[in-house]
Amino acid sequence: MSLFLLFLKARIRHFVKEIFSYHWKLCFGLMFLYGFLVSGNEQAAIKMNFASLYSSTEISQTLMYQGLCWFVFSFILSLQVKTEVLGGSASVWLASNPIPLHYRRWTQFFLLTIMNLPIIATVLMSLEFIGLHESGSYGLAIFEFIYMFSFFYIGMIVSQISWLVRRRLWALGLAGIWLLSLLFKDQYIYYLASGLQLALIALFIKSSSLKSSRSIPKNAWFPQLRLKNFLKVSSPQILLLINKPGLLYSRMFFIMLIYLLVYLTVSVIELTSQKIYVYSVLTGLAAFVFAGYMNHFFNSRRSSKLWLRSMPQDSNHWFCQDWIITSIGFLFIHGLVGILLISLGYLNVAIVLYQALIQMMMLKALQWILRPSYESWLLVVILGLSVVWILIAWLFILVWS
Amino acid sequence: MHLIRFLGFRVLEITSLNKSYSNTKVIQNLSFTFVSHGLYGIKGSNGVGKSTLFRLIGGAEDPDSGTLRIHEKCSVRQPLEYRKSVCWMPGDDQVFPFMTPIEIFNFVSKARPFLPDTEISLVSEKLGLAPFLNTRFDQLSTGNKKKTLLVMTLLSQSNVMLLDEPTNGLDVESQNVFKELLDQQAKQKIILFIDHFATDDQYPNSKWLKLDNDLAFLQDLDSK
Repeated sequence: MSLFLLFLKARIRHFVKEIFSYHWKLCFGLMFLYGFLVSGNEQAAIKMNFASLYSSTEISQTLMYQGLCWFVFSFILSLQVKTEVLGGSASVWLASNPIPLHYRRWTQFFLLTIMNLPIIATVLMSLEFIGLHESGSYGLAIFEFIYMFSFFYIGMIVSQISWLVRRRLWALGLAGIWLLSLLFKDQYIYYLASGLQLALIALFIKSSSLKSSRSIPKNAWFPQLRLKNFLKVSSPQILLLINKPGLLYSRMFFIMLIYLLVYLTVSVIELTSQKIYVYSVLTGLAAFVFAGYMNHFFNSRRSSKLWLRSMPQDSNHWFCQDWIITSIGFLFIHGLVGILLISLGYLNVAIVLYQALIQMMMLKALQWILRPSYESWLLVVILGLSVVWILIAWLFILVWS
Repeated sequence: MHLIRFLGFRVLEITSLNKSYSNTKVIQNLSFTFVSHGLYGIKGSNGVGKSTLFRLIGGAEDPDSGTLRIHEKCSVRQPLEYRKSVCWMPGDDQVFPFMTPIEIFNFVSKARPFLPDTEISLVSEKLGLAPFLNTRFDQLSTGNKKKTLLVMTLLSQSNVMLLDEPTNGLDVESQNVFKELLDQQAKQKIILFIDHFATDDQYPNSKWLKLDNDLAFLQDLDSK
């Protein structure tokens, strides 16, 4: 059996386990799906009772915009929570420190908010200044983000409660939201979706906390946030950010870039109102974000790079494996999402996703081509496979439509 | 030196090796030749570049300049042949976490010359790893992770073996078994190791070298 097959066999064997061990990524994926579902569903928009505020097209655009904001927000938050709040691989070490976990979490989430809001405001103001963002929607945009943050905090509170009472209250909260959605029949989908978001966020935070919930004292209660504790816990974080400006700025730049892309996309949607441009920009954006997300999810060899380099194998071999495994991963996820979207009648959204897939695979191929040591036969193989992927994707769309 | 080269005794030859990260020079113009098989302990203070040197010799990283040769196989001109001749033990966060030890061994055996399955069973049994051969790597204890990496390295049929902190996390019994295995292997290959807690008594058959960055050379402590 070849190296590749050995790798693939082991990878697939543990694939399902891994999916469920990374709940936060699953939640992110669902949020993304939700964003697109809402954005494409004009019927839902009408039921959301926004009709008095906007025309039908505007509702669609607003929801598209909201979906995108959610998508980007959850993506950034996933990254930030994973890397900063929970310390990534340092989470176990952080949990071993004599700091009550809920203090740490609260203060760090506040820090995240403080860090993010000026960036959002700056980007919005810049866009408004250069005329890409209409002043009328400026307030709406701010509202959107406050709304998102508030949901995030509500999710946090819910998850905190669930730790204390072993999920019973959490379940009760969800039931309450469900009841609310039934009571407000006009806004049925709105509340249902909000409830789903809330549940997902709570689950996301809960699962992201890894094993740290054990370190919460039984008599702990939220928020119990005193200034002394806030400063005690947050000061090392602030010092870290001050001492490592490069790290902070690079992250800020990255966040700003994503926000900028989203707002540019939204602006293009608002200005042109032509679907072809909208889809093009969306495809680009989706490809961009998917690149980071999927690469991280499937390219587990990143940390093993040094080890693999020390093996007597051509580096093209690893790259070829990388491409094939990423392709399989893409096809798997896109297949699931595509089936769901098309069965729900969102063919256009599915097409956007498939375009993103194709672009991503071509980008990977290009990355390979641009390497100094590529071999021509591998180039032929990779391009051939790209064409096959494209054909499969379009065949899939045709059959399902 | 010319006589040694003429007679072809050189096993591992390091010539004018340089490596920097950003603006920090870690290895500066380092040259050393290992002419015979055996066990070599590398000493040196923290940050002097011991692990970097291992990564460079192991082919995990490329030097900025300089050459590495094992039995005349150059790391730059014959990278694959060179890598077949050397086996570097990675850190426990550098192998696939989703593979079981047996899957890792199978993987490595496809990538480089490796001893047969019977040897895997034998060495795993000796080190007490046998019951955990089908457990995911990331679910193993620190000691068993280290044992997996040791078996993987010990069973690679290479001329040079590089072990960075090989006994960290191992219980005393496993350490003794490992040292026995190391002594056996040292008769056929060059084994370089870094062990901060090692004493001369623990490795009686070892020669000791000191890496000194300021002077940019490997100093043979035994010849002092």
